[in-house]
Amino acid sequence: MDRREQDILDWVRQETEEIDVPKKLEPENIRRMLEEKEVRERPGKKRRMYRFGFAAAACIAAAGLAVWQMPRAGYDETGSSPGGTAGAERGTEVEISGSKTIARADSYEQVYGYLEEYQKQLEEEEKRMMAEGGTASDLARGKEESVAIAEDSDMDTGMNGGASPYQKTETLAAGGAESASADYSETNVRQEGVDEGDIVKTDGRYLYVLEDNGREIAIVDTLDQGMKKAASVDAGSNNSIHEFYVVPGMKKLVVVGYQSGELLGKEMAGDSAYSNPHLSSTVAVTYDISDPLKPVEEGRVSQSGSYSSSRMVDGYLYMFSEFYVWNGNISPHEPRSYVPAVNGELIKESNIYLPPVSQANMYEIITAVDLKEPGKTKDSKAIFSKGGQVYVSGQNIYFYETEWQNSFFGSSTGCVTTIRKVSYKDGELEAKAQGKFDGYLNDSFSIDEYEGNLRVVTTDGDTNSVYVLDKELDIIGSIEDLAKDERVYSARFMGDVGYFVTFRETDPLFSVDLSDPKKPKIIGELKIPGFSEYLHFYGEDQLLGIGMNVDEETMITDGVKLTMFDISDKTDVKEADTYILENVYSTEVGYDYKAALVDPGRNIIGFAGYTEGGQNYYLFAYDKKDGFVCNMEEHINGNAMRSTRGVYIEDVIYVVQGNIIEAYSLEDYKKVDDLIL
Amino acid sequence: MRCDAKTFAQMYETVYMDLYRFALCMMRSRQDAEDAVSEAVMAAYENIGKLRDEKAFRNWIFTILSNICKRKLQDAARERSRSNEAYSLIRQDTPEEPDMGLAVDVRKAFFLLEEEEQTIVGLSVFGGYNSQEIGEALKLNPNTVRSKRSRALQKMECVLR
Repeated sequence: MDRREQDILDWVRQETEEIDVPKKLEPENIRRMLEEKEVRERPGKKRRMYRFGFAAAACIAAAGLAVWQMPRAGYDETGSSPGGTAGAERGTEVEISGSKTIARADSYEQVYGYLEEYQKQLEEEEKRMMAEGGTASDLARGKEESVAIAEDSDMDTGMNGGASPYQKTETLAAGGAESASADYSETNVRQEGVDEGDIVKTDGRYLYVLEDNGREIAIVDTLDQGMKKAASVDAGSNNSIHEFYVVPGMKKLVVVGYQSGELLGKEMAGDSAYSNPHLSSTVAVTYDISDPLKPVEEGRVSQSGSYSSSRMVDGYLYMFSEFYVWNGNISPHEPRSYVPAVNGELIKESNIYLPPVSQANMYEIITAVDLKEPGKTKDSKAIFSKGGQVYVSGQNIYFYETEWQNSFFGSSTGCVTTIRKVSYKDGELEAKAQGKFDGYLNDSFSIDEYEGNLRVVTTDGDTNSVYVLDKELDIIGSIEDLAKDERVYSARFMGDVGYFVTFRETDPLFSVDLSDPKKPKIIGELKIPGFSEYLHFYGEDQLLGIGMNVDEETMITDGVKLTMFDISDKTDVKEADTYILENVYSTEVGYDYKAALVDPGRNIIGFAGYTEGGQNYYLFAYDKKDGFVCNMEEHINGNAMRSTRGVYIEDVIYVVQGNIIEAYSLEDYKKVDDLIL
Repeated sequence: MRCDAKTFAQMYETVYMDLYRFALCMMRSRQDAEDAVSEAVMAAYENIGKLRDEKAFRNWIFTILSNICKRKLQDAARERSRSNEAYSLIRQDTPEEPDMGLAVDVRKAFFLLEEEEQTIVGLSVFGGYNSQEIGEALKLNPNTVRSKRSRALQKMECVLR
């Protein structure tokens, strides 16, 4: 969490500190009320209603404890008595299908069944939670424990092809290090060749900047190193832009965001997306920018839900949105109340991908748009789910979600990640396979596709694991029980080798040899203080880590830390140099990789850091002889909601924060110009 | 654990202010918040015998309360759609909003959020839980919690500015 987020939480805390708690809720009155209850309650009589507040008692009867008294079939059958005396492990909480095929829905009624099941599960959990008190690990489950283990027997199926060419060394590009130096920078992306939207982009001459109002994109001409706002694209007052793309080859600007109708006004009055699921939608609007001074709208598409992410590959936009079904409002006879729509039309049953468990409450909607026909959606699918994350490789979309095995705070007994793979090509989406593995993923850098296989590094309870899955998503190789009592902070894969950082006191950087996908093995481990939150390959045999330094005595983070790892010998990774920015207490790079400007070709490392005096922008260079050199440390004058971006065009870097753009020369690092939008 | 009203009240005393403030931000009216906390207390006390460790009390009752708030909000939404009346007639926010119990800007900031976002922010502030703990409680990936929290706080910042 960054400083600004912490500030808002602190603000809420401060603003609510003075709130008086009603007299009835004071401990003394609670005690009295409970004692009175005891007097009235006779042994053998389980429960009575007490007037307390005024609506409270009635509510208990209606929903809370009434459920308790009427154990349902399926709960009692399991033999797990509400008393929860059995301390034994009971396996996973929800049954996860062992099928390798993604199921499609036959009918909307079938879809509705999952929603009902989800609701039922919620109620049962509430009941069990109360039943089983402090033993979080017992919160559960009702399903036989063999579930997770049972299908392991077929894990080796489907593994034949694709075993040979693993020795092929991939270029640095695969790991995200663009060694070719363009004369302008591009958005730092997860997967080379798969573009991602952002809030600042450039085509080499114009800067495109999302303004602070979230509605307008300013087009700024940077000719002759000066800056001039030349034009703008206005999404209109009912829209809010999340990010956008500039595709110089096709002369297109693609804006993605959300369209809210009259939502804002209603939201303030207490209505919100959940009382009318189709009130707001995610939209993509394509503009022709043959003349950047006169953008012309060419078409728009929409889909239900709120924007979650998008990608751009080969002239196709792939857009993801999350559509949550609010149980309070649904009716089995009205599919519109629980089925998402694309351009106003409900998604067909057969395009809804059912989850590997029996419940769901949301959809991740994926659509594809051909930029040559930007008014049409070429393909659309809805992944029915309880909420997950997306990783997009060069060929496939992986949707992964975590099934927790208990619902208590701070007492995890482990979890399983389920994963569904949908291929994409030229705007066509196709279900490929599904699978699962133990543990959860730190972020999308912990999952990586290479040569058709998928490699993941996971944290499960107090240990970590590496798994390799084949193209059918069967686990073919694994290393378990790594780094006990630590968790993964960052990871990066390149070709046959994976690197990941775990942290408790020191920062072990592990290197994993994945050249035989059936037998991954740890080949190196380096312990240094602090931890890296972001890893980026930096030229040949070098890995850059950006993270925090930690004082080894007090265990307090005391500054942002840059580390260059020498990875020329994978079995003996060394710390080549470190640089600590003291009193810089966080950087956005830790949770937003697009905030990093890393270009080994031009030898530029740029990012913003928070200090007591506000935000600064830093530029570093690195070479083997001198190590890290800090070339620039400049105060950022903008102060907006969104994170800072550094973008360069030729020899000028533009630091963009909100509506303020500050330009510095990359030759002498002096300020060249600034512009307030 | 065995527990009489006095012991229960002692454990409750360590947590009740945070419980009430959390409920207030979720339910947005004094009465609804009070009802939610009362209900959580009743449910917890009924079942205290099954709590094995006093140390787990805070987490336990917070989880109970967040589920109760969630259910109450769902019931309200269901009721609203069933009766098909304007939300403003049913929700507690009459024009003068006499009984909100929350500062205007906090209220506005919370209004911008969806229920799940409210829960995440509320549990962060009043429960003091981190993204992993919240993920476990709400069945979300910690990374999802972080991104949802980040999005929620961005929305709230709109009101702050």
